[in-house]
Order: sequence, then structure tokens, then C-alpha cells
Amino acid sequence: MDQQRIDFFMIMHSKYFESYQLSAIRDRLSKLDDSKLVQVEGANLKDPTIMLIVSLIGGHFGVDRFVLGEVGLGIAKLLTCGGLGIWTVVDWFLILGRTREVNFQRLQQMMY
Amino acid sequence: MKRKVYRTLLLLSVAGYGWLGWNLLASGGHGGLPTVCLFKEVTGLPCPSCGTTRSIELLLHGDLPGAFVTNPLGLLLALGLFVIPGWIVSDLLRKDDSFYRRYVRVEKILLQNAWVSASAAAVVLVNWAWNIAKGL
Repeated sequence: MDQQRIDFFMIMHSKYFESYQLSAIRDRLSKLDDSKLVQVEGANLKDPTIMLIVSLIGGHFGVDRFVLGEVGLGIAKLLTCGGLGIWTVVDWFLILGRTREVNFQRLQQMMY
Repeated sequence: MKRKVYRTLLLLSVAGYGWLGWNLLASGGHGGLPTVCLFKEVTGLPCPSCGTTRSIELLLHGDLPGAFVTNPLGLLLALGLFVIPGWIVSDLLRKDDSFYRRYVRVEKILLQNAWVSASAAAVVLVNWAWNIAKGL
């Protein structure tokens, strides 16, 4: 993958990952085959800021977990009234980190 | 991931039993404790899972039709509370992951099969409309 494209990807997606993951992602992308480029660029990554808004509005119904693809936890959250309201509030603080983690996992699945 | 799921579900089960026990002790009936539902506090409308505690309490008193009318999801939750903690604990004791494998399979079906997930969502929405109509 040529350097310019990697730079562009990193600029566009830097807030989607934890800062300590960025150098590893850049390293891996530079070694990546061009054929996987389209896959990586089209990866279904979630914006942490939008996930925070989703969590604030729909977290009580588990919507944040559903959107992240964690259907089981979403159902658990929905059926327990947001974990008696406690889990809802806890997730307002956890969802940013969890979104970045899920993004990194998705990218890793494509890169390796 | 497996540890996280087990931990979360076990914690939820313990909290669920604790909450249920507290309700039973506090009220001797239902509606004894104030609501913890954020949605209901803010909007005044019941959420999809409002009434599940009352439903399980009725079930414990042997009133199955009453439990169903209060909130059918209560029956599902009661089943979950009955099955899931035992399954997870037996998994942990036997160092197995049979529950997690089943969990992942169900998650996959719901993620990949639009019809299944759409009908599940429809059931929850219809039940929610019923909750609002009942004024739980």
C-alpha cells in the first residue's frame, strides 16, 4: 500500500483507535498487500463520538451494544432495564474505549 | 471475551436475584420499591422491560397468567435467571465453554439472519406498545 494512502487512512481514522495502537496499525498497513486495501478502507468501523451519543440516548435499551455487534450483551441490557439503570450509566463511560477496542479487533481480522 | 461475557452475566444474575429478594422482602407484594428505570423517570412512560420484576414476583406466587399479562418478558427473564447462572458455574467448574459456544452461535444467527432479528425486535416493540397501553 503506498505511503500517501496509508497517511490518508491514518488521518481519517486516528480517533477510531487508541493512541497506542496507531503505530502498530501503520506498520501493519505498510506491509499489507494492495488487494486487501479496499477491504480495510471499507471496514465497518464505528465512530466513538457517535457511539457515545447512541449510548446516552439509547443505552438504556442496549442499543449501543447492538450497534457494536455485541447482540448478547445488548439483549441482556434490554431485558434488565439497562442492568437496573446501573449498567446504562457505567456504559456511558466505557463505550468510548470499547468502541475503539472493537474497531481494532475488526481491523486486525482483515489485516492478518 | 468469554471471561467478559461470563463475568457480566454472572454479575447481572447476582444483581437480579438481589433485586428480586429485596423487592420480595420490602413489599411482600409488588410495587414496594421505587422504580430504578431511568427511561420511566425521565419520560413517565414504561420501558420495554418495565414490569418484569412484578411479573417474576407473580410467577413466584404461582400466578402464571398474571405474570404473562404483566410483562411476558418477565417469564423469559425468569427462565434466564434460572438457567444461565447454573450453566455458567458448571462451565467454570468443568473448565468447559459450552455456554459460550451456544452464546456465540445465537449471536451469529441474530447478526446474520435479518428475519430472525427483525421479528425479535418486532416482538419487543409490540410488547413495549402493550406496556405503554397497560400503563405499567
